[in-house]
Amino acid sequence: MNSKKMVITTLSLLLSALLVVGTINFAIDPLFQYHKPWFGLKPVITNERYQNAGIARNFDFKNVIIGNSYSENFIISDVEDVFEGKTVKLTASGSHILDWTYVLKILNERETPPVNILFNLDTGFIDFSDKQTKHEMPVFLYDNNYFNDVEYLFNFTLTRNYTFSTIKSNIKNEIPDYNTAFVWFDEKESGKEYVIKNYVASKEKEKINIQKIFYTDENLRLLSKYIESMSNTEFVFFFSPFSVLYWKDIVETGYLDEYKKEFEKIFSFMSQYDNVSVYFWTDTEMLKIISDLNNYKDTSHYKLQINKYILKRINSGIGILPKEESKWMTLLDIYFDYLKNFDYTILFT
Amino acid sequence: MLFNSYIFVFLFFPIVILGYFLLNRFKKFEFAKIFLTVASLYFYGYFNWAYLIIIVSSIIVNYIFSGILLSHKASYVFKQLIFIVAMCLNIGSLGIFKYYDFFIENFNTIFSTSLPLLNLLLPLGISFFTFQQLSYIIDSYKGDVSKYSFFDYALFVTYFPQLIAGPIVTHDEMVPQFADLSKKKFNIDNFSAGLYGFALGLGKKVIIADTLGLVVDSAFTDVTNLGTTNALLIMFAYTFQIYFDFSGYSDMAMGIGKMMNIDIIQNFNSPYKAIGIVDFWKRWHITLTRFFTRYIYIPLGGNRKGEFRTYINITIVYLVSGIWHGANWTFILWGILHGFASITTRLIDKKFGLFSQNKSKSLKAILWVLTFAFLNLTWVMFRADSIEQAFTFYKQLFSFNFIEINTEYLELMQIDGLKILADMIPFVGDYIKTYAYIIIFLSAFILSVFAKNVSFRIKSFQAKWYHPIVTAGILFWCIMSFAGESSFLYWNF
Repeated sequence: MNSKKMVITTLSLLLSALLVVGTINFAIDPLFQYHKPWFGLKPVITNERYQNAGIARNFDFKNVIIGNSYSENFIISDVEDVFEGKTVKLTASGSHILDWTYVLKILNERETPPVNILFNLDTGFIDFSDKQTKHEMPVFLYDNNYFNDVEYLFNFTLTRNYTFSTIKSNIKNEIPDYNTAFVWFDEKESGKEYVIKNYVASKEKEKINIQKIFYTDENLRLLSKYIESMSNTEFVFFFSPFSVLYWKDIVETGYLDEYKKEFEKIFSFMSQYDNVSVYFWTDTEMLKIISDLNNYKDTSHYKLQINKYILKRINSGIGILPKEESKWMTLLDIYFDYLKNFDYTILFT
Repeated sequence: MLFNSYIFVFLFFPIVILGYFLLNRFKKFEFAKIFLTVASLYFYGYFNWAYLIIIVSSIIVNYIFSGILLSHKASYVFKQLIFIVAMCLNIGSLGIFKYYDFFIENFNTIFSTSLPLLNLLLPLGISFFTFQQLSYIIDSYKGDVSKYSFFDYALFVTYFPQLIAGPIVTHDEMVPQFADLSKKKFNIDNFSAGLYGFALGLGKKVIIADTLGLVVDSAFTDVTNLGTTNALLIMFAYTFQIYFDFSGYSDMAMGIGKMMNIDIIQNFNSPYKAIGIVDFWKRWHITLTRFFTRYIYIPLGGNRKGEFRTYINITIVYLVSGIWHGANWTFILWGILHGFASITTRLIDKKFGLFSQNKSKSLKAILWVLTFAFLNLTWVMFRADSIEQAFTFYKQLFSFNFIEINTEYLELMQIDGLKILADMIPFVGDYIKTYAYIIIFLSAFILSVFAKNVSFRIKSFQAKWYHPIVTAGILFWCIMSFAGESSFLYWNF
């Protein structure tokens, strides 16, 4: 064999192999980057960060759930009952506003933007960085750069874990139920005893981080861009009902008033938009829920039943935040006074 | 930019090789050099554009210095002054970027002070391009070089295949090649040999080194409970990782150079075949050894000033080698251990002729085992984050606690390429997955101890029927694995 033949054969073999794999990945497109499933295949949705971009770009829907673990336990059909219309779940565990903007950017570019987007509103708006995501984002899936799609089309891991897996699941007809996708709640790992045991154990290990940095202004700036440009979309935020045990640490480190001030900023920001509604509950029933650790898996993660309860309240319009500052200030006072005056010792009895 | 990246394989290299040969085809030789220099700077700056300021200013300043040193008009005293300034600037900048914080940390510990650290980002490959330029400055001072044009010099320093992790090439072996008109024309024989070499180097890096790297990194996060079995596994894993990573990079550099008709010097000559530490250093990172021999060992007197001074000089060279590898006591201790082993080897050899004289096969085997064991043990020191961690590792290794292999390590070695292969092969597929670690270790062992090295394969390349299958197969496997995590070990040295 001469050198010329060697080079031509090598490059032909290599390009053919890449072409075959690339074509299969493009046709099956398990991450939905280019199209909805072809060949009558049912979508196999198993990875939020890798598949949210494609779903946001190519699926048909009216409503979207965005958020983190505090939104993952929503059953999609329950949300559809409230907002009427096909809903997709684009949550991501451990995500915060910066992560959400990747999805919002794609939603904003859609020809038919969503009618409603449901978000959880939690302390991550305040104390989580606007510059750094907690988990690595596969950014190449969220941008419009076709060159970096090579990372998707020529990738053993994605080919095996998604393309092959989509084909296999469809052949065996073992399609994961999308209605309960990413619901993590496990009844066995919850309840007061479970929460307290893990709380005590984590306190023994963890060094208490006294120094807090707030990023509220920066995070709200990230959101404002999309709230303003997606004026026909209703942004629905609900205040995640963390347990009082979560707030205990903030009270003890002397930061409660600071957090209240930051929530004032958030409410003030949100009140100025007509396409934003916030649900914030300070009634006795909700305060009772956050004071009962049996409703939780840990200090902040509530049971699946609480997600259902949240939707029920949203559906009935209970707890919608008034636009007038004096009114929502009163509600904030009620909530934070409750946290300030709560007898935290009873949690350990 | 990484060699093992989509952008390099699909975009950068095809454009560069096409542009380079096209410009030469139209006899725009000077433009071709400028094009290659700019492309190399892009390659370098792709990591971090701020690095460009450092390398470009370093090239300009050193070129001016060498110009003065080679000038007939400058007085001897002035040249001496310039030489001292050039040495101080080069070694000083390396010192500040690489060693300042280490020095201050130790100073603070010893004298209980709290002097601030600089926390500077270490420019990639600074040790390599500084050494290349130092050699040119020293040779200019000696008057051993002819004056090069600025772009000849800039290309010698920045030529992208060897810029980040060597080999440490010298001006006299690179600049004449860039000027050689016979090398300006695309040569299919060189291209095929280079392509084959590049594929083999890439495979060494991506398939073997990166896989073992996952296991090693995982183990070194906590070495306290390894037990003898896991410690042995991790020790071997790192021994092969560092070799396949570093030599794989050098092989890729050689392959890329060859495709462009540029011969880049061999940097590894099957070092794990070495019998004795002296032999090992003739085979491992050959261009670094050459640099130290030429610019430290010989100026110190080499072996010309008696036996005792020879050993002192050897110790100094190994100490500097240790420091060169990184700002940590682990590297210094590793250098000292190798220096000690080198001197011991020489003493034994002098007395008994054990290493240099004809040896029986069994004696060779024993010496090989001892050398390989020493290398393995000292690589632990090299890899450890601190001396304490290294000793904790040694304690585990010699605890004779033969616990089961950590399943996490075995799973990490079940790479997706092997899994896909296993999925496609009926009946034996499960065995491939289960015994993936044996396949990887055995391949690494055979390739490093018994097989011909890539450098030899490039030099003696003659296309055979199986070359396209091997080359395309490895390239395909590697391209499909690029999206995994990867980092070259030698970047920071």
